[in-house]
Amino acid sequence: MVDDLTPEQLQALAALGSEHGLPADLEDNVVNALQQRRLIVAGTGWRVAMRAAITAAAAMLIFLLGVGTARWLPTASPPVAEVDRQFILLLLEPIDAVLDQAEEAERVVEYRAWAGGVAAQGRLVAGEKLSDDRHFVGPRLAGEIESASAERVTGFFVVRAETLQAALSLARECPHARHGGRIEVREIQPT
Amino acid sequence: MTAAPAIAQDSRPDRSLVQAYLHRRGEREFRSLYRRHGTALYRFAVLRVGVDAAEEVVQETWIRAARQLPEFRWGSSLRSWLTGITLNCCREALRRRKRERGLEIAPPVASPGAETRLDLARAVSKLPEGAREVLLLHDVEGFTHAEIGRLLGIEIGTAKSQLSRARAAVRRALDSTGEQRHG
Repeated sequence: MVDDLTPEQLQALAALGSEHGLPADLEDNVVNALQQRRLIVAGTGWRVAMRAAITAAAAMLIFLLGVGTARWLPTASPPVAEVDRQFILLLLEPIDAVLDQAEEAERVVEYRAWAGGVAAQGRLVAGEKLSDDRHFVGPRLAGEIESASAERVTGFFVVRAETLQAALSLARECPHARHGGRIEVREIQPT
Repeated sequence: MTAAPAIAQDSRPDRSLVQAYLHRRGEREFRSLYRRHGTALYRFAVLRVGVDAAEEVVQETWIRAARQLPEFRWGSSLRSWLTGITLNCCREALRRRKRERGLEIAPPVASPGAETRLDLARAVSKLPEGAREVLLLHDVEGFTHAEIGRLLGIEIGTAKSQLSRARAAVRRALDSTGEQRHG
């Protein structure tokens, strides 16, 4: 293959930007930013270990308290990882699916455990169960299609993931899929 | 402003250094990682978004990297993974700039007076988005087509053809500039 650039031009290209060395104060700025976010822990030794243990214990206590009051989610999730993309996982169930109270309570425990795991990865943004009652605003569809659809959305989770594949992997692990429900995964487009 | 502390160069491979950093989130290990990879990331950011925005991009890159490192599975080199994060941060910075100023062209970054490099930087800055990224990743940062394919989510063949088109476009731009200058 004949390159369209001469060797001299390729050499100049490779050197492009090399005159811009790292700014002297950038390293300290980055370290400070990480310290503020506890991504660098100042100090060493048993004090750090003790502080980490206390933090972990406090987080666990908050998590357990949250589980007692929230429906699906722990009330205090760890900081959400700063992944660029967000996806909504729409939990679909057959329109005629009926759960008794015991089954529903069991499901809630399962979903909460799964959501807790996603939150622990810093990937959980939101999640709610939706009421079965549906109300519409705007023109009715011809033939009342909406009420005749085979599935309904019973809940949702919003998660952060690097890729669609990662979001699909999360969805596959959701207990909803194990119980025969379908999950529609759609990327949230920033506007 | 305090100077960054003097730290002896750490010869451990990236993976060991990252494990040591994650073990206790230590400053020393982080600074070693920063010094090993920071220059390349900063240079890439400068070429992509310009000097003014490069520092912010690099800082954001390291914050995200520090958060996501526990999930990094070493399916690529650390440099490649970090460059991918920088790439995303650059794209976000460019989108913000486009919203605010209505343009997305990275400014030429060569030093004033360095005529050839300035011409080159101008020519690169005028390339289409995808072609520009492939050219910078391959010809400036030295990534292979396979690595570029993974970073940009494109086929190896696409990376090769984009590089070829990008080089041809740069060559045409340089020839045109030369003719204007000497004609």
